[in-house]
Amino acid sequence: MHDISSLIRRNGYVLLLLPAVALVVTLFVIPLGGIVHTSFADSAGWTTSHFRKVFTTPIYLRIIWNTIEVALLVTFFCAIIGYAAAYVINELSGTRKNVAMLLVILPFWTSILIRTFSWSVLLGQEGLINTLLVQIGIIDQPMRMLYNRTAVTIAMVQILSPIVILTCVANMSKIDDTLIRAARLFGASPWNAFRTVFFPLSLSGLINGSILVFILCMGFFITPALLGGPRDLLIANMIEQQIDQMLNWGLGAALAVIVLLITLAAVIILQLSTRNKYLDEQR
Amino acid sequence: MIKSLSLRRASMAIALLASAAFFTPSELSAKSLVIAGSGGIAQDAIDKAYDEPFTKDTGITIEAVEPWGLAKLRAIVESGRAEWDATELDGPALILATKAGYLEPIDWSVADPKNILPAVAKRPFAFVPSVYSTVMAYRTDKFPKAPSSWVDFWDVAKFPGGRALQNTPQLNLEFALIADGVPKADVYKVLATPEGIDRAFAKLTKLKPSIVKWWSAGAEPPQMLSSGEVAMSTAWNGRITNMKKEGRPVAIIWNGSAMNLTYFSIVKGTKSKREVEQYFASYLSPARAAAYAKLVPYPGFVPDIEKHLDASILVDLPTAPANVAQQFEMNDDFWAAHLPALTERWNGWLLE
Repeated sequence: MHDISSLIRRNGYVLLLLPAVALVVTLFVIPLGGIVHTSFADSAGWTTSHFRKVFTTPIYLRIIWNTIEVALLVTFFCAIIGYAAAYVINELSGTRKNVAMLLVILPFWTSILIRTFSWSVLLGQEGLINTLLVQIGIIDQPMRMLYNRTAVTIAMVQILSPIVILTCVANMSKIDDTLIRAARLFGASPWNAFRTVFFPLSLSGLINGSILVFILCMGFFITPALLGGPRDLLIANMIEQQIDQMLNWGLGAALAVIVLLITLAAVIILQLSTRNKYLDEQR
Repeated sequence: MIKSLSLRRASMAIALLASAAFFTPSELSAKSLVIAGSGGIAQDAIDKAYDEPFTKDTGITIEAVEPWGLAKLRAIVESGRAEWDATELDGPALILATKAGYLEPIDWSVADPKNILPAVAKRPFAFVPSVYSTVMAYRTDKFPKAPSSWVDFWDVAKFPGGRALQNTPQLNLEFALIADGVPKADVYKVLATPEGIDRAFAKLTKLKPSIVKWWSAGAEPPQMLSSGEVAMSTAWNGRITNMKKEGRPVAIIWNGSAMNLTYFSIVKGTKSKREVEQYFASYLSPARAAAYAKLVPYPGFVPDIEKHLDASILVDLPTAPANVAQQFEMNDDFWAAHLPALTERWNGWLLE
């Protein structure tokens, strides 16, 4: 007998999910449906013209590719820098660890706009870095470091790497130390103990952090607009232009849907390609 | 006993707070207008010069929100929420919004009862509260001889240093044609032909290697000029006047600069059309207009404000007769018609 009351009694905890589901549906799924609808609509009715426009205009394809390139580059550097930093922080203990975490979190809480402008002060022609290098005589003319891909990448890595650090530290702190000690007891070198025991166990934190960074990169807006050159326009800048300046919501929505699909595809590929037997065992 | 009393008091306090939250000022006081604008220093000046005296006179409070935007305007009109009573617009946006039917016609018998405004400032769907210019600005300490025209802006051999232009085809095509020898009176005649547009892009291509930054926020040119990132840039005149006031080595070249009009329009569906028109009428006081121009050099077309202003301030206004003579006015109709196609070409050209 599957009467409802016993069902609720046995699986009642599922009801606790209801508020969260309601929130996601009203604030995310429904608006997203609206965007998909807009991307297929014009004044006459249904149309695929917005998508055709995107795929037949070289600029849009070029900018979508730009966005993917920047996102991959930033994710790569965030992963390396974030993992290394997390490893060091995980080795610390007590007050030192807390201070280190605070140093990671403090800039993370600072507005992206402020951090982006700070970089333009640091990297400018008469900025801190150029002035210093010229004064100690390493270079005699200030270098041009602003308004190019490098500036965008540096700033985005600085803004986003705390995400990798936080996910990795959370993951690493759960790894049982005795496993590494056991590996060392059985004769593994420190490098081998790290490579075959610690790294595989910490991989899921690194992957989750990297995926988060990649997703955020795909939608980055302020940093490329302020620190980038003309070739560093990202897709989010293009969507804003269509929605707010051109009032072409159909094309803007089509671009948004494409970004969403690319991001989903990339996340799935990233997750599948980095899946390994250690991770599966962990699951 | 004490406990239950304090509990009652607490619940009363909560009820009071709750009712305060429900009765917004617009329902309690006489009236409140929500007006979308650009924010920043211009908004601070509007608060002081226009809004505070208006509220004192009429009891109507003004709530300034920012930023205005066509997308938000469209959403407000289409959803029928009447969230804004009036909004700022730029020229092309005014044409798009008028065509789309997002605006209410202005009753000029209320907004300008004495008929003192010139025709340029009173449109069927918009009032022109202020004028700003997109000017050429340069660092005075970087060149032995001062530049004086768009020809000089393009001449990086004679005037070395980085350049910056706004990231839009708007006005840049015009400036390029002037640099290429087109008289400013003929710019839109030339741009009306495909060859004219090609000519403008070709001229811009010559300067492209020297463009350090295609700026998008009005705060960028002053920042790049003061940090030495660029030696010359286009900029909004008020930003450069401010830099001069701070003692920075910068100057404005009015020759060939462009006058842009700022518009105020009434949002379709507002319940306060008449109050907005009264609000517009309050801008016609020369004393208030002069107070505003003293704070930011973006004056309107109210007659006689010069009687209230020093010569030192008049010199820096886009509407000063000497400056007007050297400038041209942006053709809003041209841009409303061509902005989407030319922006697409512009984006592609930037990537080349």
